[in-house]
Amino acid sequence: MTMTDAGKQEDLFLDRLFAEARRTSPEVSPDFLARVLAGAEAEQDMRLNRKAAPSFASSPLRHRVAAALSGIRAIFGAWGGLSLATATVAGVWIGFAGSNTALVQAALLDRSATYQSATVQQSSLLSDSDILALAGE
Amino acid sequence: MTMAFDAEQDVSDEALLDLYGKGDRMAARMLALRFAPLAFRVAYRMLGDRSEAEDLAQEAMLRLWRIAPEWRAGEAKVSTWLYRVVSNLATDRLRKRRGVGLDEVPEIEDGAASALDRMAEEDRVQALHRALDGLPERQRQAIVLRHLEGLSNPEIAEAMQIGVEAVESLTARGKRALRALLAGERGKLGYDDD
Repeated sequence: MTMTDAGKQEDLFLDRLFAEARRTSPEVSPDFLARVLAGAEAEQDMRLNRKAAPSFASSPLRHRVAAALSGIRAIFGAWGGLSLATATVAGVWIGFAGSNTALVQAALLDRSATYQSATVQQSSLLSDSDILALAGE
Repeated sequence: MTMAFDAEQDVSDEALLDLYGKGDRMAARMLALRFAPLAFRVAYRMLGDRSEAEDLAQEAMLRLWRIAPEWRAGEAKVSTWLYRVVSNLATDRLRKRRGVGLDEVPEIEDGAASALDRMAEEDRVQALHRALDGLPERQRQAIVLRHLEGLSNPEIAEAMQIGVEAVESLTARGKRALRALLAGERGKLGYDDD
């Protein structure tokens, strides 16, 4: 047997091993498939939940807060000169500070007394100049 | 039911990914059935370990779920993308495996005869896997994709993100190394009558 013949035999042998390996494709287990499918559905749910959760800036809540602030503005003279843009900035700030703050609750419930108290409390966290800076004014 | 199942088989991979991204549960199921076996098979052929292959295939499928909504039609075949992700993840694992515990890797080159002596005739495939363990990772990747998965050289080039010539070189060197690793084992593996 020549070297070339030996080489051909080795090639043939290898090709047959490959063919056998292709035929004996490993079976997937039902458990594995179930885990993959569970992962697919969990990822779908997470994505859809993210889409479903409205951001404060685009939510009706923001407009309700802005409307409430606008109404309350009439009560407090100091707010009278502020523009709608400032009210909007305040709305953004409220969203930034968290929608469950006392301020938002007060605005939604339109309880002037509570609002006044909450305003005093919150003003130490964000001054008027900060609000204007946020608005780029 | 059979008709519906057949109809689902006709839906393209891209359409299924689009439906999946919109929350369609059936699309999720069809994609899992269509691609999880491929991911597992390639992972198993690369790693030779069932549990590790399942783990890796699951990771690759998770990447598919995450990329599905942004999948751009016509850019790449899902199967090619999956071949790339699975075989690259497997290559990384092989590198880590060799780096961390060299003693755990079968020493085909030094002990091929003794290792293969333990193989019964029906374990030829295992013998091949053990020989594959002796290849450098990229050669193994190319050999698995070419000779076990049956991909064309251009498909492998796309999956491995290299040129076709590099694929040809890797598969040629891989086959040469396998021949050396399995040299003289034909008889022991029941192929002595050639």
